[in-house]
Amino acid sequence: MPGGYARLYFGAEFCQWRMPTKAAVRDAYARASGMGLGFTLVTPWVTDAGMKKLTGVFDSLAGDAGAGPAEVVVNDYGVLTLLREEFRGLAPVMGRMLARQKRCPRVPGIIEALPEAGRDAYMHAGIEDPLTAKFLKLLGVKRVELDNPLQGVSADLKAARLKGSIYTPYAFVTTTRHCPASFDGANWQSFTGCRKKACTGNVISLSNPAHEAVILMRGNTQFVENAGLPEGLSRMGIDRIVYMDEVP
Amino acid sequence: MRILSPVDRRAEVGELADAGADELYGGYVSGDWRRKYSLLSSVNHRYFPSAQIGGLNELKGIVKDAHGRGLRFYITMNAPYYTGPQYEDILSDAARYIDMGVDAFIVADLGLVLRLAHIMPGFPVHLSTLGTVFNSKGAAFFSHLGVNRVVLPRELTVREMAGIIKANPGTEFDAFVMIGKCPNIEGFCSFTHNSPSLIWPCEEAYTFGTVKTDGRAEEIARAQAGWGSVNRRQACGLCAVRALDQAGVTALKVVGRGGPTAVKVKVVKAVRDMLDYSPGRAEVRLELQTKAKAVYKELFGRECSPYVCYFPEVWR
Repeated sequence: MPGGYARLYFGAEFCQWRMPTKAAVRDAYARASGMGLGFTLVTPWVTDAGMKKLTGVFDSLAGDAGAGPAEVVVNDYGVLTLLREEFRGLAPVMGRMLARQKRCPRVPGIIEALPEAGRDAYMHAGIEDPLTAKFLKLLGVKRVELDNPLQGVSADLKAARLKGSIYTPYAFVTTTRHCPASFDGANWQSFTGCRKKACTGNVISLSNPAHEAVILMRGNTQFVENAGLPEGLSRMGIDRIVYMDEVP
Repeated sequence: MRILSPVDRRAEVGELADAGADELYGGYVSGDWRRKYSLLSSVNHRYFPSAQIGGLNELKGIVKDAHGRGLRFYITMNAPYYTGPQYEDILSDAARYIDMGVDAFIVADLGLVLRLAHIMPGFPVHLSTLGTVFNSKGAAFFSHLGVNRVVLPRELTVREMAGIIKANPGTEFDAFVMIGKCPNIEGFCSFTHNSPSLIWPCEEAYTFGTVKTDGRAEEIARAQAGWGSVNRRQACGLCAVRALDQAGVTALKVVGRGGPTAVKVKVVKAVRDMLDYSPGRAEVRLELQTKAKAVYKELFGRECSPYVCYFPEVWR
């Protein structure tokens, strides 16, 4: 791993089938700790079956001292509940899927036509709401994670007394359970399962005149690339940059 | 099990009641909201005028007529999120809706759920599918905040729904059954539905390219391109209505705010027919499937497809 990083993000953000095994998580945690890095386990939305798997993963993580308490990025209120009920030693971080932002690649083409208050709503995230933040803090959440969508972001996490992370350069756009990397065209059930693991080695692009940005799709999830970062990160309360070296 | 239908106009209420609807839902965006934020920052996740009830008097009329026919009416306030000043506006609207007699709010945003629990405790709140409840603990999370009913995401199987329902006996649950199947998870999707032609980003004809491949990228692109071969407004879960009933679903939800009245009516009638259909005990599943496929073909003039099948695990 190249230098200059303070923390390792490990796990699966968008698909429970891609969630690493307990052994892989423990190994990654140990390696990160050995390199003096903090450790953040990223988790997706899950079904009840996925929740059982996550419980086992959390169990193994909670029992490992590592180089300090591990963080868990949650993208599912049920997972947040699980952490609160059973794994208070793991620090929950609200993931970007629950941050609630406008991320459509069409937005740059329409935002200027909005009235000022409407434009403002497109630049902010739902997670900034002070009442929501206060409630989440009761559940142990101190950090939230944002995308840098094409129109930019103008968050105010300081007012919400939360710390923020921003992901770059791939902004999440949408995700599905109807995974084209799984669908075999004949077996209808293959559309909602995972049989090929074809997501790991393939990224496709989707282009359309309706928007300038090209969508990048890996497995079940679509992104746009937005290189660079917004100005004033510190003013917004963002003190962490999550860098992705490939489409996640 | 009840049938929950969209409604956009007062004139539709009687027809939908006659067709077999038990409950109605619809949305309204005030003139003030449109001026301040525009319909592209809609209060209820529908961004085109035909999906909005035309005025407060129209809304009052819908509530009155619905109650007159013994139907409940729920109002949508289910934008994925709101920002600071929007909360004041929406809570003011909410108080007005209670005065009008609406029976529940359908909401998605956690901040709004918290405010309604505090300011209007006890008034029924339904969590929209945009609330993204995929498991039993997620449902319990919102139930503890005063949510009475959860609209389950389109992506869950009947078995997964049954597990959530069983684990949350004090909460009601809706399942989508007809029209409007999203290719993506609606609660996590940030595509903007702003096109005047009502073609959404997920429905566009894309040109596909390969960025990285182990040899399967073209096959994946073909599978994704399949969405272009179907009309997602012709989605169907009729095969599964019996299984959903057994799973404990409270209401079958028909999508289609802003759709033509005739489509709403014939779809509600088809769902009612399926609910009322009682084949003999032997080969129940096969008979239900045969009937559902026939009804689908009659409704839409084509065979069903995995892309627009709500419950592919039930289909044979």
